[in-house]
Amino acid sequence: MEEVYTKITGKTRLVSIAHMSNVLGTVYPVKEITEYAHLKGAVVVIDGAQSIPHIKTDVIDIDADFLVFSGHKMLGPMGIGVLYGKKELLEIMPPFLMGGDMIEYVEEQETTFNELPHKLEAGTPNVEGAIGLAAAINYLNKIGFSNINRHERKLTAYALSSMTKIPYVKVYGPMDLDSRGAVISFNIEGCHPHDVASIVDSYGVALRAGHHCVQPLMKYLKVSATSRISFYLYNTSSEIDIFIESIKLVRKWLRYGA
Amino acid sequence: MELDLIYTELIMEHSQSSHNKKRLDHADCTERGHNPSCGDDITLELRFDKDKIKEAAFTGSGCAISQASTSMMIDIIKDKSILEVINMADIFISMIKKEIINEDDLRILEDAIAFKNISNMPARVKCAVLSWHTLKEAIKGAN
Repeated sequence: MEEVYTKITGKTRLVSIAHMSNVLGTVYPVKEITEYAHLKGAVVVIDGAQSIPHIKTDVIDIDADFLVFSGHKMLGPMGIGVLYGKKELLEIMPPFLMGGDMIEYVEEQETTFNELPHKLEAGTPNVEGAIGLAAAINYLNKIGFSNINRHERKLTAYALSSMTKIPYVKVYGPMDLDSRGAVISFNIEGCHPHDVASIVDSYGVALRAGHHCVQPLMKYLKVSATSRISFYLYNTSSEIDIFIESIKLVRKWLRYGA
Repeated sequence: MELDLIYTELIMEHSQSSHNKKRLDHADCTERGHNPSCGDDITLELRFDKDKIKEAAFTGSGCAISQASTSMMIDIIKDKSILEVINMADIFISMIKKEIINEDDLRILEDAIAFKNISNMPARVKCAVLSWHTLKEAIKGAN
C-alpha cells in the first residue's frame, strides 16, 4: 500500500488496477486501493478478468466505479464480457459506438440516445454469448465460490510444495496462499519456457509460456519469459503429479547438464 | 507430437554448441531478428567475399529450437554464394510451411532438413524460421 500512497495523488484522475496478477497470481487489496483513490478524487477501474472466476466479488463492497471481466475465463463462451459501471458515471458517458438500439429520437440535425444500458450497447447484441455467460455464472454460483476457492487452494498448495522441492525450478510470486491465486509462474534453470511448454504439452499438460503480455514485469524479474500453470475447479491433484513428473523430464529432453 | 522428432540429437547438439555464437570482427552487415511474442532474439553478423558469404556468427538468446536453427544455418551458408543462400532460405521457409512437395528440393538444406518436423508443431514454427528470415533481411540490407 505504501506505493499506492505515493502514486495516487490529488492530480490522479483514474486508477486502473487488476484484482489479480495474471503472471504471479498476486491478489491486490482493491478495496483499500479504491478507498484511497476515492479520497483523492480519482475514478477506479478494476480488471477482474483473472479474479472473478476464483474470488467472490462484490462491487458494492469494493465500491468500484467500474469493473470488467471476460466470459471465457469463467467457463463461459468467448467473445463476451461484462463492464460494470456505477449508474451515475454511465449516465454522463457519451456512447462510444453508434448503431441499432442505442437511439431514442433521430432528427436531421439532432439525435437523442436511448436510456441505459441500451445507450452503450449499439448494434446486434451477442445473445448467445450473454445466455452462455449467464449459464456459466449460475453454474459457478451453484457450486459456490467458497468450494471453488477451497479446491484451488488445495491444488495450489500441493503444486507449490512439489515445485519448490525441485532444486532447478524457480517459482515467482508470493508463497503465502492468502495473497495469491491459482496461477504459478516458474522457470526451469537452463531451459527456455517455450521448450518447457512444448515438452510438457507432449505429456498432456497445457502451460502458457511467454511474457504474458507484461514485458515490463519480465524485465523486472530479469527473465525473457516464464512458463505458467493455472488451476481451476476441474483440475485434480493427480494432474499435478503428471505435471511434476513431466517437468522433471524437461531437462533430460533438452540434454541439460548431459 | 513425438518429442524425439523435434528434440533430436543433432538439433540439441547445435542448441548447446557455441562454436557459431560470437561477435564477428569487421562484419559487413549486422541484423537483429526477434520474435516479440516469445522473446527469441538473435543478432546475425555476416562478412562477404565478393558475392560469397565468407564468415557468419550470431549472438543472442532464445529457445533451443531458435538457437539450434541459427547455429546450423551458419554452418551451412558459409562459402556459399548470396544467390544460393537466398534460395536455401526460401526452401527452408517453404519446408516449414509444408509447401514443398518434392523431397529432392530439400537436399540443398543439408543438415537443416532436421527441422522438417517443426512443420507439425505450429507453435514453434516461428522459432525455426527466425534465423532464415533474419538472414534474408541482412542480405537485403547489405545490397
